Amino acid sequence: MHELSLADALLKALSNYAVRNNVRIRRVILGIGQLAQVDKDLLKDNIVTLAGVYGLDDVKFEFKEEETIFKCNACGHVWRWGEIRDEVLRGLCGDVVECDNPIHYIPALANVFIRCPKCNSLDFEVIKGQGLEVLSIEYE
Amino acid sequence: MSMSDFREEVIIDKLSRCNYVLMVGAGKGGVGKSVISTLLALKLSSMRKEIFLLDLDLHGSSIPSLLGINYVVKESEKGFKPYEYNNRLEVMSLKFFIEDKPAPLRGHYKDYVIKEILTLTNWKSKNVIIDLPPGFSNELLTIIKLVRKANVKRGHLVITNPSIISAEVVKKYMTLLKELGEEIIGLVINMAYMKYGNAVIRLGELRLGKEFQVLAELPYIPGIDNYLMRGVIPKELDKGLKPLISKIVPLF
Repeated sequence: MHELSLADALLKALSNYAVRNNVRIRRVILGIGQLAQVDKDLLKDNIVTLAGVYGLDDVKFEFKEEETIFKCNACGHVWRWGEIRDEVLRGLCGDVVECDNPIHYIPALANVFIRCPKCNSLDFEVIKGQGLEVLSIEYE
Repeated sequence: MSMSDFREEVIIDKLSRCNYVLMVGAGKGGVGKSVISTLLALKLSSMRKEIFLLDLDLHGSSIPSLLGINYVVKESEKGFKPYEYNNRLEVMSLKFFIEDKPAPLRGHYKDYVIKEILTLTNWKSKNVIIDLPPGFSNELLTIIKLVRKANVKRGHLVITNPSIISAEVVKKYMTLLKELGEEIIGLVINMAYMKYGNAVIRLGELRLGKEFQVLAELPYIPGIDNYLMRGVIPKELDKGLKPLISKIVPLF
């Protein structure tokens, strides 16, 4: 469900952007941070399905999955989402496969639910791969 | 070409479709911003005004407790569903995502959280009441930026209590709003007095300059949270709210 509302929000933003700048968008590159736990294929399907509603049927969408990397502000430790994913999801849902969770909805809430694996600090940065971002837009 | 933040595009679009955005703030904590935001939302929705009450106090969220709401956010295909308190009052709060957990968010993450919530919250009401947190930080600056870009009608209601230490901070807050070019619709002195039998006991005396237009003085009501949890506005408070409501109703 979240992939559908994300697709809708993204297309609405692109459509407004095109109208405001009086341009025809041709290609959009999207970055998807692992932390957001977005189902890339589902997001893609939803974007393709809804694009026509926003007059964006001709746009070519490309997706780049970005590994999420964290850095602790307390001890400097650097770690990756892949190292902690299962433990975090088990803690949130008890299940690592079907887990609708607050970080999936709002990746910036990582500090509420994740701790530094080395010093247990809650004070860390997501230095890469936080959520869904528009990396570039090509237009004519 | 890049688009700086697609979320801002969506939020600005949503806000631009609203009729009025009322921001309730103080700069100071503990003066009753959340209580007054809640009172206004209850009163105005009872007067057939559609209200979206947005709790932006990310660290000290109070609105859900004041309204007795125990809700975990649900998502529809159009986004997060606000809590429907009644058919004219919708509520959204970070608490609906994280329940009672603390949110240790550095400033830039507060921006992200606010934008993620507003991008995907699917509210219908045309009038927005925003309960701001204490401080002069991201929540205030970010929401002002978004509301300004949306070019929606807006105003600030500023709350103080009758103490000098509160008024000092509130004066700075009002100076900041003026410098930002924001419209202040009025100042409310909350917990200004209490009634004891027939006696009225003043709880402090503020000497504010003439430039501070006091819109209303509200009484201190012991156990106000217990009233609000039942959706009840105490009679004395209802009376005190009248000048405030008269000012806001034509705007909404």
